[in-house]
Amino acid sequence: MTNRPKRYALAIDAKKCIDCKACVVACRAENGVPLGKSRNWINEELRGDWPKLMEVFEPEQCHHCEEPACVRVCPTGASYQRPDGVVAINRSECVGCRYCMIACPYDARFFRDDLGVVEKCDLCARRLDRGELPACVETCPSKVRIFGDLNDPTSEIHQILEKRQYRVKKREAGTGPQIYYLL
Amino acid sequence: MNRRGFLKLATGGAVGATLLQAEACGMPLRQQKVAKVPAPRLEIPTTCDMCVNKCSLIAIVQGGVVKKLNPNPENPKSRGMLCARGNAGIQQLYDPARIKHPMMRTGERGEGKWKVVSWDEALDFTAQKLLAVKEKYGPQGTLWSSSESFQEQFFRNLGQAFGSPNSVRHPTLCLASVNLAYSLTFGTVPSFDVQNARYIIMSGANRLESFITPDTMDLVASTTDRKARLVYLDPRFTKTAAKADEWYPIRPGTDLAFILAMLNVIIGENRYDKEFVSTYCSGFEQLAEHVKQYSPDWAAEETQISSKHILRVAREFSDAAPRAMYYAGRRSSWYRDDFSMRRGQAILNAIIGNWDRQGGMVPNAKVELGELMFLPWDDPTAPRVDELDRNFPLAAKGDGVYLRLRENVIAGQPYPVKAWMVYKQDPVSGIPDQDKTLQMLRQMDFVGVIDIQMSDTAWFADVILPESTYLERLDPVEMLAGIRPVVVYRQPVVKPLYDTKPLLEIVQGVAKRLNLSQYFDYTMEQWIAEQVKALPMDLPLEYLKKHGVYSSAQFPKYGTTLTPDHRFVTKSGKIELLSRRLQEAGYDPLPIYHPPTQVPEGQFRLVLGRHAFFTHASTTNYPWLNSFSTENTLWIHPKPADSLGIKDSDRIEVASGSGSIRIKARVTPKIRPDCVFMQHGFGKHSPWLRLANSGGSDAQLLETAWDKVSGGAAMHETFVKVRKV
Amino acid sequence: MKGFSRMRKDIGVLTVGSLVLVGLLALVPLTASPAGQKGNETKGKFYFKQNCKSCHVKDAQGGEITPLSKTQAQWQAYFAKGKHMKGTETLTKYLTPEQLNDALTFLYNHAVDSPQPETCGK
Repeated sequence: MTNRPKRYALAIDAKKCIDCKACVVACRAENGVPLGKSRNWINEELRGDWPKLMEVFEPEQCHHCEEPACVRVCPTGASYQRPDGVVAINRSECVGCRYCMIACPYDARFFRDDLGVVEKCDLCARRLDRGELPACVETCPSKVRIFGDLNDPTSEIHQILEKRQYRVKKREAGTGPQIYYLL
Repeated sequence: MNRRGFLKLATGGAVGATLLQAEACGMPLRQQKVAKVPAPRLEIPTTCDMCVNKCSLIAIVQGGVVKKLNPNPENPKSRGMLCARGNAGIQQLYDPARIKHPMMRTGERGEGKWKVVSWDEALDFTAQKLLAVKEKYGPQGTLWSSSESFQEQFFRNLGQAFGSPNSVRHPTLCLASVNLAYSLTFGTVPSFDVQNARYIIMSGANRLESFITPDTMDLVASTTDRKARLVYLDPRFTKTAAKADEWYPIRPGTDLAFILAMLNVIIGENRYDKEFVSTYCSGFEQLAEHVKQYSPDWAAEETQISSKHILRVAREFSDAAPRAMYYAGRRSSWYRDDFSMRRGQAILNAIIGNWDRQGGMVPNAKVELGELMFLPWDDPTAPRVDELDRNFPLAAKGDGVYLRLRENVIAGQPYPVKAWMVYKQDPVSGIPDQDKTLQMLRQMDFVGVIDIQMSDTAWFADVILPESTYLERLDPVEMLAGIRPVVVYRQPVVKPLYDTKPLLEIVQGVAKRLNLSQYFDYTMEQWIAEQVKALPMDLPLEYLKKHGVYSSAQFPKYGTTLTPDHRFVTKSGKIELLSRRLQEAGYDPLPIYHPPTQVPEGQFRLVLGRHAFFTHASTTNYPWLNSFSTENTLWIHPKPADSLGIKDSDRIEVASGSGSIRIKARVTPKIRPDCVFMQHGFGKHSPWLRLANSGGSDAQLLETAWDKVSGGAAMHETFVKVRKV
Repeated sequence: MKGFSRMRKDIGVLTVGSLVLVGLLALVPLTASPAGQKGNETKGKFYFKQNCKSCHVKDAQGGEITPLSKTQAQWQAYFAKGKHMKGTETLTKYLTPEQLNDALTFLYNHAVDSPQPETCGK
């Protein structure tokens, strides 16, 4: 329908997040993520004092930035960005120098001691290429995550970002993060 | 290298952990090296068994290995999602600590000395022991305890065909009170149309955390999209509290006071549905008179919620009717008056006329399934050992009253029970007052356990008969009644990994040796073939194999019982605000408030609850889930913690009348200062459940208490002393 | 109950007694009251499904009949009368008196005014 290139992104309606951890387990299962590390996580914040308490839950993972710092600093080109916006790592090219981990404003990357390489969320690229949703998006019970092509005006994510206000995290880092947190 | 080697590696560090995890992920390393041409990727629909919601999933299987469990979008009950536990189903299948062969103990009970035996030997032994007990004590000398599953009926049938009246099931520790309360009022237990409600009050139930059902999803959607208002009462600030519009840390055990005050306001101010009440209900005059004493001011004293709020909530609730509901909840094993409280709820729901209406309570619709006609046996003639008829005449007979039963069996009254068959249940972990459970167990001549893992009860058993996991099994087709009833299918996605059997075959193996084969003379395929005959499509079995689930487009339906000639399944045929059955049995026909026991000075009330990533005591050993909580903790409010000199993460000792445990403290403002909370499923005896050995067992602390009408266990009636160690 | 072991010793007396009872039952039509609850419910369910359900389903000749179709008193009365097909035949055409008692027990225990609290699972 559209002749614009695809640009994948995630919108997150954190109000709906109940911290059930389904997304974390689904990602671990789908991508073989070892225990002790995570490609995605839920930020928790408890505010207030008894009995006036408030708690918010905010899922997070790699933001697949417009100008990914991790790609820029990678000495081997192992970290790269696909035309559709997905920032991925070519495992065989990674030498484990971990510059990317330092460059990432979101601490989205981690080191695989067993493999000697760096790893992070790649929006389940294999699933995307099969026409499926990332595992975290598909599995979420409260439908916190909206995933799709920003450049497709008929896509749910495009439409919701036109309707609702949103924020991004650490805008000042200047990498152009592509996770949109709905307000 | 064998699996034990992997386990050893796992304790050694990251590399081991990865190997274990890779294997647990379903990717045996051997296969990774050999495969050149990728095996075809199969998508096999089946039904989850990681909790009782029975969501539909699609297993991704490649080369005979399960790679991932994905949601199946076709089931309106699971709405295309799969929760943390569902995703971790792979770990249940590839759990290195699974029971892989039948085993018999060689040392003392609980010593952990096992020998692997053949099925013949294990089944011979089981039957021989059961017959020996029957010979000496009659068939009633055998106890058959089980939890629900698609195959549970075969186990129960075996016990009955054997001649034992002594079946005991999980509802006595869970839903007994709420089921009985709603059954006595409406003749059935309805579902709650949360999706369409505009005002929802919940006492506990913690639907956003304790377990993910359609109500969870609807509750999130409704409250975040501002379609419904949620008022939530809980001594803890749970995830549901975090999303509720109003949360009140109600004084534990006073929910009935809140409800009675609401009734007082709604009836006193004529805010109830007069037409509905006069057409469908009986006992209103007595109810109206009865609740006059329960004013909001009085309730404020009891509940520690201001009367201003109680008044306002009562008015807003009735204004929103019929799209208003006091959510019934499921686990109603809290206080000694739980049954009364749920009756209060049922009555409140009734008088605002939300019955069988959109946004209210809807009687469960069904999809008819066929039934295989199997040879019937003689009903057991002996009376139940828990003397239900005398002690709990209204309780559900097949479910029994576990705590009463245990008292009787320990005392050897009214007659001895000397053999215990356990299916898909871990009484040692799951029942309050663990010392007593172990005492009952030790008195048995025989303990046989059918399970998939070395649960705490299996650890103390004489013989373990390993069942295949749900991913390896063909089960009877199951109809899940509800507002949108569905029929779900469970088919094996891989062949059994080990020498395990589905329950039906285990039952048939025992039955053969007990000369009861004639009652189990069918295969699972034959059973299913009869069931699907009633489904409307041309080739129902093929349909189910392909889709995994069937749901009819004709639902939801509202108002099917709102006809003047409709007879409710109650004694009077009406919705009984005043219950005739309760009256005849000598109980309060209308709920009377009894204040909860005061928390003794310097002690705390222990309350329980669930988390989204654990199912009771059965999943705490799966690494993917355990990683969110590697040990349980005792939640304690900062003020009392401070006066006890307890800091976050300190080791503390918690003691009750039943026992004491050592556990880590979690100092948090998310709980009332007079309560403490701990998670279920830790402090396990069984060394095979290594990850769950940490922390403490609530079963060791909880004291024996029950609701006198339903017999349901009362698990929030234990007071504990806490001190730093 | 303590009496139970004593009952086993008295089995001789019981057997004779029950023979007499069965004999009596064979001679007179089933009367209403206590007999209905003491039959074998599992067998009663089987007989009901096997013999009655073939006709008594939706859109069938006899109309759909389930235990919920009558109250306990109505079931007892119906079986006491023992007539079928608008009085043109007796129920004993389909089942023996003992089987009918079992069927009645099942229907009585699940009648529309029976105490049958719902439970989780089967």
